[in-house]
Amino acid sequence: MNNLIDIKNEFDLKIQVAATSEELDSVRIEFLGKKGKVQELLNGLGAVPKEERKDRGQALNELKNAIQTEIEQKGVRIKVAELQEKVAKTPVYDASLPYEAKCGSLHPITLITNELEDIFASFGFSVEDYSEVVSDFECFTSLNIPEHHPARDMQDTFYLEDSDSGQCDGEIKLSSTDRRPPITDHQKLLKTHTSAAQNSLMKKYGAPLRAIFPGRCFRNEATDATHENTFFQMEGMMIDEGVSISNLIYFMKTMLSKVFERDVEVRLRPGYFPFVEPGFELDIKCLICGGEKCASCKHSGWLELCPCGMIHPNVLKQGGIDTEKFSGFAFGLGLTRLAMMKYGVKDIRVFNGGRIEELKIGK
Amino acid sequence: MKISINWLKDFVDIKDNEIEKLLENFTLRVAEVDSVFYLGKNINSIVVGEIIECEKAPNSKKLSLCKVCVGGKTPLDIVCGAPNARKGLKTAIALEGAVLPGDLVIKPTTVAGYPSNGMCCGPDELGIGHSDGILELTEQDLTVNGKKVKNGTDIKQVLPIEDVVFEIDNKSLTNRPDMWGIYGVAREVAAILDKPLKELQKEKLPVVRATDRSAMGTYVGGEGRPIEICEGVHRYSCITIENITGSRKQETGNGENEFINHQLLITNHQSPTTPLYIQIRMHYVGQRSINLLADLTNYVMLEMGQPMHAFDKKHIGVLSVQNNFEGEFETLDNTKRNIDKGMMMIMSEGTPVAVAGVIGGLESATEVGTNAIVLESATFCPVSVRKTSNKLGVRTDSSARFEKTLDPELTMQAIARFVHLLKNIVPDINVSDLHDTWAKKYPEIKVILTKDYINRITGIDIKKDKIISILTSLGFIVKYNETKKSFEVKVPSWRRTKDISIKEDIIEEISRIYGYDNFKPIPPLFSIQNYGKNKFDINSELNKYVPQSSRLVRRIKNILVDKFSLNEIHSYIWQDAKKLKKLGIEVEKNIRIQNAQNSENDTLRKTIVSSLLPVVYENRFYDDEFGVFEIGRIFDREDRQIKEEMSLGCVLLSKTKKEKELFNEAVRIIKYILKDTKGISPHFILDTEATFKKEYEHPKNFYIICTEEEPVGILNLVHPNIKDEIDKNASIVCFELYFNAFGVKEKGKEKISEVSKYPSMSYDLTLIMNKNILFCDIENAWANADIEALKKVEVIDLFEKDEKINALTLRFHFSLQERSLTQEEVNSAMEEVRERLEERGVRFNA
Repeated sequence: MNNLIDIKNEFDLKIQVAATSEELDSVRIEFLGKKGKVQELLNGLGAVPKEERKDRGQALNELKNAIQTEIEQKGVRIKVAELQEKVAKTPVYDASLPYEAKCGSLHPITLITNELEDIFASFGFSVEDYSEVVSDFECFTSLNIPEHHPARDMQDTFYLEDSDSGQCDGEIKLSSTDRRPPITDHQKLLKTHTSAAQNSLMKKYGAPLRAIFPGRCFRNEATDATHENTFFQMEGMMIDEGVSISNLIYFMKTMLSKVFERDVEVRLRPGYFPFVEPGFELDIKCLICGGEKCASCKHSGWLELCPCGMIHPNVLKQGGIDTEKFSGFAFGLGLTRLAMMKYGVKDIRVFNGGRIEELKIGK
Repeated sequence: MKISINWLKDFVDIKDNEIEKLLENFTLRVAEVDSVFYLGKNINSIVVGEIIECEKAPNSKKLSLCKVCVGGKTPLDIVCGAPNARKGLKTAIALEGAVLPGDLVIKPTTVAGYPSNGMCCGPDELGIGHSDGILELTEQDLTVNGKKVKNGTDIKQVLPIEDVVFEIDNKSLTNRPDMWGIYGVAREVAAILDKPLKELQKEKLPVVRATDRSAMGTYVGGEGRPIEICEGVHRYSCITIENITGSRKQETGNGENEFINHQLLITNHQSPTTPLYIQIRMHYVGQRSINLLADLTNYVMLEMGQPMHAFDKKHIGVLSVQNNFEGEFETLDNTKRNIDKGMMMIMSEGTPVAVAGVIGGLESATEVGTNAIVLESATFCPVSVRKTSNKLGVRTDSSARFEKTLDPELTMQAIARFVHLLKNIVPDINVSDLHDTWAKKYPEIKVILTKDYINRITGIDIKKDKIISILTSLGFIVKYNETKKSFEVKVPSWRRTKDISIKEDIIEEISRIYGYDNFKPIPPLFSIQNYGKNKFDINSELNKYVPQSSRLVRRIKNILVDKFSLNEIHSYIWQDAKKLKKLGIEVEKNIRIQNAQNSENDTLRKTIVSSLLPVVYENRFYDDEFGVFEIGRIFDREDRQIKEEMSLGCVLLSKTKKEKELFNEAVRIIKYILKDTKGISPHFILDTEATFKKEYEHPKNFYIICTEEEPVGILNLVHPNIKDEIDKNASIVCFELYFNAFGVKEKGKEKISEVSKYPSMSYDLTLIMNKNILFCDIENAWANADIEALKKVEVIDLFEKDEKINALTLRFHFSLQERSLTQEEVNSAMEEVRERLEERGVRFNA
């Protein structure tokens, strides 16, 4: 039995010395491993005389359990100590260092367009797209703006070289006094307003119809802080049986309250646009002063926001819509202007200026 | 346009306490009131005074020492510097404590050593006109309600100095020719206030009318001489008025008098002058006073909207209107202008005397002392007047009105009004018959609409009687049919030249005067149905331009911004010649704008990248590495038609990454977008032979991006020539994806593939190959081998061995769905791949 005591003594000595997980592990292997000292004795149990075998086996198992327990206990102690040391060795990292993730940016017009599209989608409007080059018919004639109508003068138009006349790489230029070329319905031009899509959309979808169509518009004028020759509008139309002025007022108020995320007070004034009848200018109560009159609203308490009106029967008819059955309203929102209001942009040229820094939205 | 409330009061009874509300309602019911001016309100203690003594100050050339009677017993001592101060003159005197415009307060003072206890006022001091001298009050001015006004009377009882003037933006009146005169505005005001509109006072005149144009039977001056008119004259009315200065004519100096241009202080008492109340009104609405006759034509124009012209009769013979004159013509404003054929001219026996509807001639103009005039009141074709006015670069009050399509009924009324006003000033004038040629009449318009229809469009129930009263107050004649419940509305002449013709026009009249603020907002009901009568058909003529889903655009933008940290920008759709030239890029020939303001910006772009390169240049100091993109339109000609296409352009710049790395980044972006939006992987086809290259495209690294053989875009390094102009130390890569690449993913085919439960195996292989061999040249080595277990091939490393040789390490991934693979199977598959690669000129590391 002596060798059992010797083994235990030897174990006690070695476990005391073991200071790391690795050392502890080699102790475990030395005593409890397949070829370990305890295991060897257990293997030799067969050679022990039968009468002694029971006691010897019991004693051996006790020894094995005792060693096992001690190793486990020591293991826990070592692990705790090791983790503590690991933590102690870890430095404090500086989260206040000015690292930034590289961020891309959406154009402000895109942001405001997305916002509005979502609002209109929630009202069941479809979002339509339309070309930038349109015909004179689409931009004017179909909208009840015949030739020589003063409304054409209000919108200085970029006319494109006539593809039919063979002036493809044209040297023929307009003289400075001719404000525009002789007009045919086919004359191509850069659209001066998103209303240019009304006719095609009516023809495409018929009535009932509710759609918005944002897009880039162009006016042939000199640019400065408040004028751009390239800007964005969003046109909207709603056509159905019995759509009325009262509906328009309700709709505009609800829609604008969503756009500005607060209850917006609106008022309509008569406004003249050939493609609506009656036509309106819609004002909202100044968002800065709440109608108390301030510099932003030119001391009127109101901000002129968007033209709108009941779609002119001639325009509906041109779009193939039965005016005895259907009526509708249309409105135009100046996306560029809304973006200026929303993001506090003072110079309209920023939008097409292409300077990344100026286009990033921040606080 | 400025409008005087005093003037409006001639026609509508407006109470002072109604004005503020009226202006608000005018904005809501007619047109926006831009600004309001309360004039003369603060002026006080200005009285009528008579200069009873006037001596030149001994030591001054200019100053006079006056004694002025202001009603009290002792006259005031006042030093006056005005040249027209003289004994007997009645003028306006600012007493001690008086307040003048600009809050100037009058105090007793000494001027050049003489005491002065007040001030003689000129029109400038009172803010009612312009002159070098002090106000001259005539007997006429000083007669109020038939009684003579005493010295010391408050000037405000004599002159209408206090007024409220409001301004409307002319643009909001373009469709309302009737609103270009005070009387038309008064009609609206009467309707708003629901008060009667008073009639204009006019003279009754006998008329000689030439109705038959071919007969040309109109005469000027009653002397039997015909007037001929050309195309574009809608109506021409005229009259001759004589004996305006009468017997006093001979005494009148012509132009020698030093004050001749200052109407307010005409020392020639013989020539009749414009009454001060008219001068003040005109000054308040922005009209300069010229002379009595010119002033009265302007006054009638401002009042009725009908432009008139007074010719000095001594320069006028047989009148005609012609459009075939060509040559120089000196106009009223002392300017010689070149008249082209096609411009309508008023001619007197072959000599031009006025540009019809635009501006009169200098020679035949009236002046102080003109004794006889031919007065023209006509209607001209609006388009013709606008063209002429644009060509000459002269825009006058007259041309602005003619452009609006005036009511031809006005010509005769305006003459009758003019004569009435002139007779009040000069009672003994001789007036000829009124001559009239009327070539274009507007048809009568009757609109019939039911009460139901009005309800339907307004959405509210405006009472029948209210409808009738609103329309009647605006001059419409309304008949109501009880059984049909419908209105028959006859449109008045001043609203039917272009303004009103259909039911909706009538509804606008009713609802605006009723007031949109009185409308009840009602939520619209919308039928939920799958609308769209023409199902979307890409081949249909209507859909030749393919609309893109805004969701798709948004998705792509979000990928580029969120995943690849790119920046969206907007540029112009034309090529900027100046900016491109700076980078060494010539404008690419394309469709041009005919009337661009600047020939450097007149050619439309063919690629988005051409707009972005200058943007990258502008931003070159923004960061060491950045990318910009734009989704916009590009243009080209196809079959002589303009083809417009949506396109994504993108340019990446890096000063830290190697060219190779940046190029690979671009490839990753393109693949990601196409995979995400269309579910496909593109091929890149190297095209070194391309002959259509643009300056910025790299001679070697130029790829056509293809999906299933269809080119959908271009990827290239920026040519070093251009790149170095932007930044010598940076790498720049650009690509363009045409939007037809962004179809919709095929629906119903997207599935989640099951992951094999069995372990996968991988095999790394390093290919030693010539640099001119591209990956796409060798990938069919395994693609065509049809190895079922080969799932994926991935690039582990690309190493440049020397100038000509690359070492490319690939990892081949193998797995099977139903069982484990053996190493032997993988080895034999790779053996096949190696063989096939060797056939393509690839060697391997030993």
